[in-house]
Amino acid sequence: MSDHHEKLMDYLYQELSPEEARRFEDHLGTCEMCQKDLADFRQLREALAAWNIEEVPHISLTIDGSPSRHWFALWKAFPIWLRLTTTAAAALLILALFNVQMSYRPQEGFRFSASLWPRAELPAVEQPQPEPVGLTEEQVAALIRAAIAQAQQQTSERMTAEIEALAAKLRSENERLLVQMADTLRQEQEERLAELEDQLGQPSTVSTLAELFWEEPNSGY
Amino acid sequence: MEWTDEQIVQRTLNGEVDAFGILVRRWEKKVYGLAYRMLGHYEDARDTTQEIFLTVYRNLRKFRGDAKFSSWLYRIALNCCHNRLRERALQTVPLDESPPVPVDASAHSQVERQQKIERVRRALRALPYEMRQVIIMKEYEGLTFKEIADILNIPVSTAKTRLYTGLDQLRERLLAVKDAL
Ligand SMILES: [Zn+2]
Repeated sequence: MSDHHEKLMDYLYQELSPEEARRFEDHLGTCEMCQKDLADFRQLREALAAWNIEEVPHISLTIDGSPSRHWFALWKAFPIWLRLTTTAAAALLILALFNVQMSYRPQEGFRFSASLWPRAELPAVEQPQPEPVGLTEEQVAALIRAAIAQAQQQTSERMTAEIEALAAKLRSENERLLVQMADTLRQEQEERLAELEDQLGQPSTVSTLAELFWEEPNSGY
Repeated sequence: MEWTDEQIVQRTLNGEVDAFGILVRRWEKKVYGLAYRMLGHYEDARDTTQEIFLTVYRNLRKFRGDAKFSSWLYRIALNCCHNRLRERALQTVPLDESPPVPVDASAHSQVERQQKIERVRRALRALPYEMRQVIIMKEYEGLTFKEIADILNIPVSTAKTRLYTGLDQLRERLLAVKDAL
């Protein structure tokens, strides 16, 4: 009985070989149940087909509100020269203190943006993937420690100059994403410096930052 | 030559973040269609579609090249829909919410069409989850029984039986209504 049903499903959706189909048609000729099912289901399929979806709403992806999970994707987007400079280490620290946001829109592709204040809560997704860090936790902590030490040495003026220079360099690279980020950085620079001083005044900063960059591997999918 | 899904996944993992956009564009219509038909609710479907792509992005490294990307994507999509339905089961959801209707079509045929869709939407929503997902994957996503069985991790014959049972139940709801009209 249920063998009829399976074959019928295959036949209805044209998943039988020509020969199997012929054999099923022979069966159809003798089985009223299958005839009735087939007629009904064909009618049903027509009814179901009425629900076609023409309009797909604008799908906008905002990928993460914190810099931690997607930091390395962002990091990879930097030109190599920037990754290799000590300025990059400073930039890394600066960005870590910000809320870096990466967004995707069909026409515009991915965008990175940063702001000083936390954004509204974004939907949490379970089980983040283990990040391809390539750096150990200690290395990241050391990097951050070095960056903090460097930042402490510098006067606010020198930081300003550095960020200006970074922005100029980014512009010359014609990296749209990064220019945008640099502009944001410049705009919020004063607040940032205040924030930075605040952060540096607290001994827990290093470990907090290290945690941002380091995620426990998770399982799933 | 056009990239395969699997190639795009690899490029994204290699740091070409923009490559992921191609995957989203390629699949958003199908994924949204699946979500909308599974959930029967426009806004839930939209939110869930975003969630599905986020989940895919965040788990991209766990995608194994030995499976088809589409199967993996569907599995995640169904999981997300399932979670959303479970959340919704704890709340009261307005059933009647429909997507915005375009105004250009003639009012009469538009109304008629909406009514037809509404009947289908309600009939599908009333089906048990397991049957609904098989019907949607077969009828609207056009997957083969083998593909459905892979995605759901069930025997092919089970996929077919579920489809039969689902159609059998739908027949009572949809064809009976139709005859009555
Ligand atoms: Zn029969």
